[in-house]
Amino acid sequence: MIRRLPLFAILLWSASAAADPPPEPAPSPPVPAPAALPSAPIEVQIIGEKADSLQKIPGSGTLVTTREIARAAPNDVGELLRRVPGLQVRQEEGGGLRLDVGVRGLDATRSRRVLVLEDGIPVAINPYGEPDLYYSPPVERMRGIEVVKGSGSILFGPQTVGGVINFLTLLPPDGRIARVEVQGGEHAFAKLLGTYGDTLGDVRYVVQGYVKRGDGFRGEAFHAADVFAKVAVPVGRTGELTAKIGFHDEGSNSTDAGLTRPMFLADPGRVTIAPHDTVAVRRYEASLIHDVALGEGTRLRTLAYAYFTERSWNRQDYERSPVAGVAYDRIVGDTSVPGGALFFRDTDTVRDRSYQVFGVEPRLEKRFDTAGVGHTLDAGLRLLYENAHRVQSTGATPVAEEGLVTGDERDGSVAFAGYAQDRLAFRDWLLVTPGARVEVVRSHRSISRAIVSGTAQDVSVTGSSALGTVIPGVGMVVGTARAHVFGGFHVGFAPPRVTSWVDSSGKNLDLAPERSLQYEIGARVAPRTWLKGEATGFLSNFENQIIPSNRAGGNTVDLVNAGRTRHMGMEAALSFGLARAAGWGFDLDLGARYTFVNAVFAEGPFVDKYLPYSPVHTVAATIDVEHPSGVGAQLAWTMVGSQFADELNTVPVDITGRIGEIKAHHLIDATARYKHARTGLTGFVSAKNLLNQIYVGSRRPDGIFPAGFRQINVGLRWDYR
Amino acid sequence: MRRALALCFVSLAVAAFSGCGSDGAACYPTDWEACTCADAARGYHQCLAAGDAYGACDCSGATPGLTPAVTDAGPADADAGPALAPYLAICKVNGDCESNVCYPFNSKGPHCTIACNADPDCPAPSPGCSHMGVCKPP
Repeated sequence: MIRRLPLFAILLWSASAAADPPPEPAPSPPVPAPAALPSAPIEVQIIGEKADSLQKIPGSGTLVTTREIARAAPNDVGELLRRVPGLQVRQEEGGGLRLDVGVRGLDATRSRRVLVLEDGIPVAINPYGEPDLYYSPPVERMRGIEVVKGSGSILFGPQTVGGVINFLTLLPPDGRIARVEVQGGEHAFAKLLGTYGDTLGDVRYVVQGYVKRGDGFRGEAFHAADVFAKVAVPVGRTGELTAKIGFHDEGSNSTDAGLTRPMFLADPGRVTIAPHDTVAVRRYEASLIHDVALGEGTRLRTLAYAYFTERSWNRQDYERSPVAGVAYDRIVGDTSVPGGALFFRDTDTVRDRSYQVFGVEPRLEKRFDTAGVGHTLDAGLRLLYENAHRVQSTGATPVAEEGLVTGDERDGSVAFAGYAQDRLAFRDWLLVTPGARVEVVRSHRSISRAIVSGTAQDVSVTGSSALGTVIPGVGMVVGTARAHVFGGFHVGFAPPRVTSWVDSSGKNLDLAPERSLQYEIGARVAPRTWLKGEATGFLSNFENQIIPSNRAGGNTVDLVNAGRTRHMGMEAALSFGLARAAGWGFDLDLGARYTFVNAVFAEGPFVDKYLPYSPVHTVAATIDVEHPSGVGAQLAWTMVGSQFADELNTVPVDITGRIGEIKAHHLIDATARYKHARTGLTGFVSAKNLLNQIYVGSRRPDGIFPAGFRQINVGLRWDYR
Repeated sequence: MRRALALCFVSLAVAAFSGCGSDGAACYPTDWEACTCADAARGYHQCLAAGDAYGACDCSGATPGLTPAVTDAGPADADAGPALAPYLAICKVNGDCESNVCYPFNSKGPHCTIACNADPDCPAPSPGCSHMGVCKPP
């Protein structure tokens, strides 16, 4: 239904960029970094890039830099995020098209419990009504990633339960840059990328496009094309306007039907059992950011944005127990054992959805002093409108793209948010940052077709609901930029999804938003440029956490009330520049991160049981080598501890594969590169999941989804600067 | 130099995008696929043990997994074996149950149950009908 972008045009464009290089090639720096762009940041940043930026964050924070991204040569952003303390990232498929990231024991499914931004702009398909990520920001366009989990996250919203991940995209450069990159590897993976940036008078711009495709690890082929552009135009003497547009198109084999236990035991890498299931996602985005200095110490930054997402997912219908009189297309698995097989019908269900989001957000930053106390006031307003249209049809064949419409509904939300946070500098070494956010949202749901008494009928059901809430927070930092302790408290907030707020009869269920009380205390030290460390203890008490569960016994995952839950733990990170400390004349950097989370039910029938999909221990370590000759390499290890798939913390695996312990797994990634400075050419090889140890990545939505497949790619990159 | 560079990238791109895919098994033993019988009726053929092809089309009219002979160990003989388990009792195989349906529920484990379309189809103490069309255990 969603057509592919012509790949040929981008191939031609990239090839022409290589065939017609600028006239005066200059030597490139020895460290390959994606289009090192010196221009001042013009998008919304949470942390910033100054040496003391982290000191000013009221709580824990991590900045993944351009250099770290270049060193990792990642295939997707999840690979970078799983090295951030406190985050858990589930590997889902091979194309980097999905991102499932959880924070401090919160469920990672579709990253719905964390606020994901790109240049300060939301990414979720509907930030209020359906905060799921069906589009993962492409790592190819990133120059940095900010992660904030403490009270600093109340400046952003609507969700504040799990923290904020802000992806920073390439900046328009001050001079001509170009990059062409081609990559190929196992599982028929191929990628072609081109970047070009330059100036036209005072106007700066950058354009990037890529295409990639692959057969996938388990016969789940994918393809993606992505183009984005940024143009920065000076406005007046102190202002700048940045326009950004983006287009993303992808398609892949993707299913909810996982392997049964016998299937996984017989062949962990078995090809998908649902080869007809396909999902197509297309996204359009446009934004304007106007930044102006309004006198000494005052800046006004205004964001206006819109993005549209189309998602069409066809999944063949199936059941786990055969029904008399039904003709099946395929029967997969062991029919001699109840629950050991999946019975695929001749039909499919087509889920066509489209989403629109519009937002306007002026943010004011003002620095001033009162009675010897320095103030940095951040205040802003945001008006956001979003809507969704969901159509569900029953197709007459396993691959039908349309059919009898069985469901049609529209919903939408209008939300207003206001926030203010003041960083009070009583001394250089004592910062106190109180703040508050107000969220008001009104949602409506309108159902025009539904199944009534087993038959699809036209209906007219409407309903609406509204809520308002205040989200306070405060953080404190004591110490210098080199060594300080911090502590903070804030209220976690997540609005109810529209479909659970207003039920299918149009009734307002008056569901309260999810709320939590979040505390953290920690310390950061950086006694030398080559030694940095951070440790944070945290406690999150949820009044009623909503979690995905298939406890009802069906083949779908429902969102259910889990009651009170408690997430307590600590996270730590350490980086040590061994070669710099020893004065060896090159870089040999060691990094380690550890997260401990005890996320448990605090009441009800599962009290003291671990929350599903919450590993207690997560460890990551990296070794980086970089020599002035242009040679560089990285070795990265990640260990994700065991976790449970259900509320009862069942250890034995049931035959369907949906219930049971998920054992700990280890991942090792390695990259090596050589950059020839005179030509700007870089050759590289990356090996992801080098051990090729296939493990149970997830038992959701319905069965075992293996992960851990090795992917070795080789590539050639040409940089001009 | 520039032409050589451009040629190099274009060649690599063509090579990368024309790469071979991975080969998979034709089918997995125990799997079944629909086939058409001589009278145009639907039959099923099973993947051969070697996994390289499907066997002959079974046109007996039986659905794999539905016919007692294939579904489980077969219905228990009332004269020879223990009494069948009642509705919502714990079970191991379909043949343990009066209803001949032993369903593996996620959190409760396998229980004897019956097919349903909606909650009213499920007698107490079941809390209702699951998405899979069987009555849930309490």
